Amino acid sequence: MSESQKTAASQDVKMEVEKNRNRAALRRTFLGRVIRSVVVAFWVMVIAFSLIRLSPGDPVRMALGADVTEEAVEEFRTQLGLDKGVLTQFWDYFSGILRGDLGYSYFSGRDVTEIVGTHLPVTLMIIGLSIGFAAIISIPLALYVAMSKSNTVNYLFRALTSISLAVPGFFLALMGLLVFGVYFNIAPAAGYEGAFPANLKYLWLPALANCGSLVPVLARVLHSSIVDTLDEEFVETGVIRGVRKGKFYWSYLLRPSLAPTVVLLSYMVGVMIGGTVIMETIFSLPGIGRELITAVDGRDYPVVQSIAMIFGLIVVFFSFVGDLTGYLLDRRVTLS
Amino acid sequence: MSTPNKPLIQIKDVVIGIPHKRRPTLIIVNNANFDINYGEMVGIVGESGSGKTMICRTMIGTLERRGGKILSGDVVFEGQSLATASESDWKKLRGKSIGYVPQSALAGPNPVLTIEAQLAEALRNTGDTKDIKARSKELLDLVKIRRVDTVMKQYPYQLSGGMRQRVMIACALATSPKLLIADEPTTGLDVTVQSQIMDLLKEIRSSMGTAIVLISHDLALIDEVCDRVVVMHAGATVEVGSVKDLEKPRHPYTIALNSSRIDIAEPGSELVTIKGSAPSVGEWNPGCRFADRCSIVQSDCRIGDHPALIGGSGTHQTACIHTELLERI
Repeated sequence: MSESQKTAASQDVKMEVEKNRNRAALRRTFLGRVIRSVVVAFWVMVIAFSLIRLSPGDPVRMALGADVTEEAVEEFRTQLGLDKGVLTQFWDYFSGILRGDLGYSYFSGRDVTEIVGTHLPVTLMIIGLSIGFAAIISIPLALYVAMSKSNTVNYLFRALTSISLAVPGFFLALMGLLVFGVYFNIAPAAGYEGAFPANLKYLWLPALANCGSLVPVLARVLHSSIVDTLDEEFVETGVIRGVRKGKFYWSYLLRPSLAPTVVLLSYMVGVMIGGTVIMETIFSLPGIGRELITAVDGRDYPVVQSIAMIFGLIVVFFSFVGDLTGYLLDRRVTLS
Repeated sequence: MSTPNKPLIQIKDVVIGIPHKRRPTLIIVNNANFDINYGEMVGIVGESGSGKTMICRTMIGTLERRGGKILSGDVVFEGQSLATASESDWKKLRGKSIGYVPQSALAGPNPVLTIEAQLAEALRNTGDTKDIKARSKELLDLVKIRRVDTVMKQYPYQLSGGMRQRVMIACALATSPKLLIADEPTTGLDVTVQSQIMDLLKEIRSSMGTAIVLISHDLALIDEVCDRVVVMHAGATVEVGSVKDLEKPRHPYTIALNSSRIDIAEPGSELVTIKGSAPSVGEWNPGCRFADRCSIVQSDCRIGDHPALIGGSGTHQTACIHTELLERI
């Protein structure tokens, strides 16, 4: 074997090793994330479990109302298991989760799994639409401003993003209702219809209002990434190579710039969940956020704990999806 | 310059400026004059800010992208004026007749595309979209990359600097250009890799007959691989000649550059540096812009415009008006 063949062979071995290492890293990351999401969900549940019990108010009396006898109260308390010690209550609830049983609402007696099953899709749809709208608005906007040499455009961009950052989501929602719902009458002010394509009619405005706080952040981060990318040598290489316009924008500007934005977006899902709760209340949508508010009001322990845990799971899941998307867009991004 | 054939590309009295809305236009290259013949390897040498890269951008059409403009003069490529070329003219030239190897090997390739995808992009420029894969492999063979199949599937970050630069050269060669512009192609690469890349460029020149412009601040490197040298200082060509001509430089700046070469320095002796620094863009005094750093400067060196290149013996030209004093240095 000649010297050059030897080096080539060793390089080949090195590449093979690296490939395996990458695959192993990917597997490890995936497993790590699953474990992490379980741990996060557990702690969120523990915190929700403790906080709701620390807050004043007796769920039993709230559920039964004022006109009941002391015996009835105590009987219902025993029935719910609230007469037991906190640790026992926790164990009852926790072991229930492991069996896939989230408990029953103190108020309606409905199975919490069923409540989540009915109302979570609405919330997820709003979050999904919000992300979609945020991407549709902020990507072209950031690209346009980054490519524009005009000072006015850049100034306007900075000013408008600052202003819209300062506008709270509920205000945007109310203005949206006023403009689209009342003035133009193209969006229903309230109400909901369950089936998929039909429900979009009720969801687009809340989603749009919800992404109002998202767009300025995303557009700014993406804008500065694109401006950095534009200075890179490979962009010039692309220009010289005469890459087609669409391909140039995607492969030479967006893909190398998108990773930080995507990761940020996925981390902001938590913020969006908070916004969704507000939107559901304003637009009276049967989402899980509204269920949560009702449950907190009534100290409906099982419902509050379960929804909080599910929100934790959603946040961890989206942050993983974000990291993975960032990695697929740009392999320089390392998965932790 | 008297060569039997018409030159491949001519840089004729090019003046490059950066226009500004409120301030007057900043002139960054003035009095640039040289030709490049078919199949010739020409080195452009000069300090940072001497306008080497700007000249190179006029030949590749990326000057306006960076806010620059050819104010007067012309760049003529095979009879076609590049100063007035439109973007669609450039589309026909760039990546076809003229190839480009970027300055930084590490940042040259697109980080989000595989080597295969980047070669394919370059190859599609030929208009022939058949057998892209096979032709990509041929290109990688041409630039002496081993384990071609593995490399094709890799991303730039998985390759070493030398490999990346080979890939960039492969991309530039995809359309068999007549002119290849390499702007400091070995920046950031270690010395052994540097000489490998240079050998590769030499080989390409001799096997494909590609004219190569090599931009560098390293005179030793240029001496080694080029046929002719263009010396630039403060936005002007100050001396043009063959490598052999330049052994007897006829401009004090070239003499100074020569004596500051590390490779010929006496061991243990102090390195010679050129007095002062090149005048910054926008701070050019009348007359010769090397005057303040020149050891044989005369009073008439500081009058009028920067001296133009004047022919001496054949192809050897200098912008010094006092060559008779050069022996004093």
